[in-house]
Amino acid sequence: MTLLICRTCPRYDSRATGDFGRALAEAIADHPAGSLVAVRNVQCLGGCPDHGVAAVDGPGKARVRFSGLDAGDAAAVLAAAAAHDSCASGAPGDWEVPAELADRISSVTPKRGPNGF
Amino acid sequence: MPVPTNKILFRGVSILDSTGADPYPGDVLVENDRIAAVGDVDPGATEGARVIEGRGRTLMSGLCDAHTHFSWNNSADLDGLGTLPVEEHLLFCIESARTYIDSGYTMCLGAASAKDRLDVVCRDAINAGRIPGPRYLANGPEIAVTGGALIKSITKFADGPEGMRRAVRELIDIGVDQIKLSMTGEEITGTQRAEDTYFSDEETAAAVTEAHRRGKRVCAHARSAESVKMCVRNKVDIIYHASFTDAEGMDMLEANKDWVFVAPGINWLVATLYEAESFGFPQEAAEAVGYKKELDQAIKGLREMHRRGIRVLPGGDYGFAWTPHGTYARDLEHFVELLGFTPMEAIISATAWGGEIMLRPDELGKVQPGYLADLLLVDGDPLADITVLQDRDRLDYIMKDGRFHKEAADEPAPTPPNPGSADRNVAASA
Repeated sequence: MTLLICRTCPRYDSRATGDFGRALAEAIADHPAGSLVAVRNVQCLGGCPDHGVAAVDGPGKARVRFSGLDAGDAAAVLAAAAAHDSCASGAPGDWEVPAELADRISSVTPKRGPNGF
Repeated sequence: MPVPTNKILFRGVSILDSTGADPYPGDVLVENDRIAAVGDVDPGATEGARVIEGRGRTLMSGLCDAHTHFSWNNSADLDGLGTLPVEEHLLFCIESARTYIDSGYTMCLGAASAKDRLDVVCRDAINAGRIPGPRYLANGPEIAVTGGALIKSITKFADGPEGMRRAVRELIDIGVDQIKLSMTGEEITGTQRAEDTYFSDEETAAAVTEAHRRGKRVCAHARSAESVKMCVRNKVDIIYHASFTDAEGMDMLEANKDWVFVAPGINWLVATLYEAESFGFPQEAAEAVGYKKELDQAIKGLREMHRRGIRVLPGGDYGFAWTPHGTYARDLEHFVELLGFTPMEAIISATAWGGEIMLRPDELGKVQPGYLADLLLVDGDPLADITVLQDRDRLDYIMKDGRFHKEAADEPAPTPPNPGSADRNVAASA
């Protein structure tokens, strides 16, 4: 299962520290379940105005993006990644979004397979 | 007096050579700017070489983005591309060039410049070694007919065959490598429909004839069915988008697949439809103006192009707020997930076909003896997980022309480095 973490949040911080990504990646690495996810430190996930952005993704599954996160959400993010991974579609509704993240979904990008229309 | 040879040996790497062969273990020797040997390297040839221990990491060609806009400035609206003063805009372009090569892209084909010479100046500065960046084929402002511009402030207007000839000549005079025609609309404008075609056959023919006569290629923003056919009829070399290609157009593309390239910019459609709400363009609005219909049509058509062997290349129109610079490799994931490419096919389209669209198929885009040493040493297997290329921390070494742009420490840093900001010029001008 793949966890995409924005490395440029907060994007409009003139100091361009990338603090969010560093802190969340460290918290994920320190968590007992952290080794189960493939972390990708990506340039941006496009949810910038509401910074602190990460997304769960996987082959054939919807990419689900969360905004307004911080390092304290690491456990919930890992739980989301596991639940997303165990679901065929990846679409919220087909898996249980942790309560802490339920109102922080900022986009759902479906995948369309060979017959996916 | 003998010229000293600069040698670098990548030892113990998994060689992903972009010929279509499965990766295999071996060594790669670079001498000066070219790959000298691949696989079993004669130990005598490696004498004096600096050794990079591969430890099984993947060595592959640098990537190509076939639809690049250095000057798209991560704006949240189309007009923002034209309002940045030229001085700040040039700085932004320099940062874009660096972001491309930081992201593993060593080949880029310019798909239009927001001001006359931004692309040209950057290309020349990269070639002179003054700034870091990919190999770059520069473009000028896109040409549109009266009433057919997507963004008036960044457009070069021309009407009629004679107007086209003059516009092409003027752009060639400033030093572009190719010409861009903006032939159709774009739904986000609210007024110019993607399925509307603004160019005539006569205008397209005049622009292409003049460009080809001067040894320059032509690319086109062509979303409508008619525009795709107009491109093929008139030998437009590179077709961007091609979303609404119909059956006749598909047959024409297939019949001409030995010379035509398609670069759809698929991430623009995906992200604009599903991921732009944070910037004031919610999914409902995107669907209402037609982006869902266009994405559905585009995926269907591009899958068919792939099935027919038409060269479809990644390159995504990056440089808007929700598709910012640095996210380029997401295109490869789309090629696998949406267009039915295998990971190997996606990588070949971004490397070997990249060499073809850069007009250097015998020296760019493959890990082969004699090719230019534009290489990535990747901590991971892109064939097992194509998303690894979206994480620049996993690109341990980036080489162009036999010189390192990036050299990782032996042990990777535990956390991402300071990323810099691609937006500082936008913020400064706001």
